Amino acid sequence: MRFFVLVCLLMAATSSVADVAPSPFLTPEIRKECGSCHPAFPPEAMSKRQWIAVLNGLKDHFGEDATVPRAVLLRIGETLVNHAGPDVGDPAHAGMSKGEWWRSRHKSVIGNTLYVRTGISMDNCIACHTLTGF
Amino acid sequence: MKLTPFVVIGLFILPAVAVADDARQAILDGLAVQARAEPGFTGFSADRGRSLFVTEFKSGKVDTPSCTSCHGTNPALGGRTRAGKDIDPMAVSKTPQRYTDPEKVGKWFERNCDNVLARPCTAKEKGDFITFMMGQ
Repeated sequence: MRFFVLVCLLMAATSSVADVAPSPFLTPEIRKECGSCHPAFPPEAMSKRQWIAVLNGLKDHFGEDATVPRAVLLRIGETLVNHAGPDVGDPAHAGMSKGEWWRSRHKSVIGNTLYVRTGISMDNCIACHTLTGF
Repeated sequence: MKLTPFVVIGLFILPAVAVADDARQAILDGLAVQARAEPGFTGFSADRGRSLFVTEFKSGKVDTPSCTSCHGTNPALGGRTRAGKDIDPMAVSKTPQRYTDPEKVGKWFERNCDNVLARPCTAKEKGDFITFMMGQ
């Protein structure tokens, strides 16, 4: 644990990996509803098409029921869709780290031997991002 | 009486705990009203709650055969979501705000009973679960 925190700190210090400014559209409600199980992703992280797929699929969200009350769904959905990022052709519902948006922002960790040595999965956002948030 | 820092802190904490206890009891009372409509109900049971918590049902989603899949087997210790985020302990003694917000309680029973059991929990099961956690 201490080793990979150190690696993340080192990476944060040497590149812009984990020091992204928080999105102004990451509302407290999105943080609460999306951030209970994983870090809440900013609207810009996915295209409108992808957000709609995620929001429509919450009953089986990567193997879990992540449904929210309809009123909440409409409120957070509006923010996520209205401030969505550009459509770069990523698969609709394949996981954050499989997409081009994510890859373009993690060039310094993908294939980086120092990072690979930690054994941290690319799906483990928290390994680096708890230190600074998104 | 001279107000030491501890007394001052206590003055704030004690009412907060009392309010939380009242809120939790109100939720439990509501569940009891519903449970009485189900056949054979004679009160909530911490033992049944424990069994609900630890049993591997394997009837729900593949990755969540039991509550303990994410919450861990010891309610006094925290758990971890499949995505790696820490979950506060379920035991009331460790997380006093547990089971005090009706909206939160409703949302998570709905999601997680579906995840683990592939069906909604009954009022009796919810009451048993909370009763067990109140003694932990």
